[in-house]
Amino acid sequence: MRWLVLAAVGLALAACPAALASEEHPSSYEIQTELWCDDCQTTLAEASAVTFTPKAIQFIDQRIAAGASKSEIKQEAVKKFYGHLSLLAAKPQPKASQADLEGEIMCPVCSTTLDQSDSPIARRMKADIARRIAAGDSKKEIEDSLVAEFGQQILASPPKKGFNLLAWILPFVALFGGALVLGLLAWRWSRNREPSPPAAQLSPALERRVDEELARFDEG
Amino acid sequence: MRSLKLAGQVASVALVVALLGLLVWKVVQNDRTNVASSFEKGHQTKPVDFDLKRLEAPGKLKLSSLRGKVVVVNFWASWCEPCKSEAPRFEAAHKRYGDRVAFVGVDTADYSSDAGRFLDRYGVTYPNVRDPDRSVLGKYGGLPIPRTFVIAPNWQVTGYIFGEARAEELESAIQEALTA
Repeated sequence: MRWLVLAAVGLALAACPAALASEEHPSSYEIQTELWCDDCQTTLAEASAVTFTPKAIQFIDQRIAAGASKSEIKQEAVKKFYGHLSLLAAKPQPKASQADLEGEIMCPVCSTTLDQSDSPIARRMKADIARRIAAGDSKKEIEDSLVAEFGQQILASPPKKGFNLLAWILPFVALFGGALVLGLLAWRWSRNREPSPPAAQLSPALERRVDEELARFDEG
Repeated sequence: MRSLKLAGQVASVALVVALLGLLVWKVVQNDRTNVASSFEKGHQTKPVDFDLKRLEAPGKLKLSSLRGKVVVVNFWASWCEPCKSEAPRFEAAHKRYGDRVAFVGVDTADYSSDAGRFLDRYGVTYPNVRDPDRSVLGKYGGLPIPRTFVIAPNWQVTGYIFGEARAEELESAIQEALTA
């Protein structure tokens, strides 16, 4: 245990200067992996040569040579190539799919998911989802707007946070608890099994009589 | 070992009995708090109070704040076909009775934008609230809708219309509540 703690502390101490070095003396590739190319929907590092990408990389290299820090270079690059580059954290969320959402959103009047329902409100919601997907809304934005309209129950599965987290954890706890109880019972049962009764011992008199009978049988 | 086995058996039976008890309690409780079924069984039925967000105005409306008046509570939604037919009848009755009768519409499981258009289209001027997750509707009998309840000033439900409310049904229920 002590070795584990020491190893963790050592690792943390080693990582700290490394992180500082990365911030103060970044590599061009490292910065490119942290910038999102809006035109190509990849990081700048993975982007093929679109009109502005060689210029952006050249700009990054120049700023590294001038001794700028990583965060400065990223901010400046996003500013200089505004509309083409963004910080990776702010990259657009993956687009929502109609089938996914219809399978994950409940019809508010029929207790099934939208894809299983043809009620008027379900049809209205499907059309709304399609319209919002076409408008470029992310899955989360669409889900959030539906929750705002119809309440949390509109989600087929509860969100994995707060009190709802219990719904995800409890089945595993119950499964684990059940397995534990079953294992315990099986163990007890195997330990307490009564040994099979030993073969009945013949009394000496009876044994003698059997021997006599057998001898007589052999003679006959 | 034997006492452990016995304790296990007793615990299992107790668990089953407890679960059965819970089921019976839930059914009875649901029956008691369901305004529609309680009224239909002829029990003296009090309305279940609610405090819901207004649809066409800011703020909330609490049903019990209308106590002392005849109150008509109508559950509806913009996607519900019979609700479209009955909406003008409620508005006409609202205009006819004025302050003597309070009308409250409860829009349920609906888009607020659709509900707003519905009110405009049918010229509804009395207060409406939103019950987006059907939690209040559930206490009044649940789907399908429309459902209409008439509450007398002594805070007892005296009228219940299941389905589209015809003008004469509504009139007679309101008159009964006014004379209660």
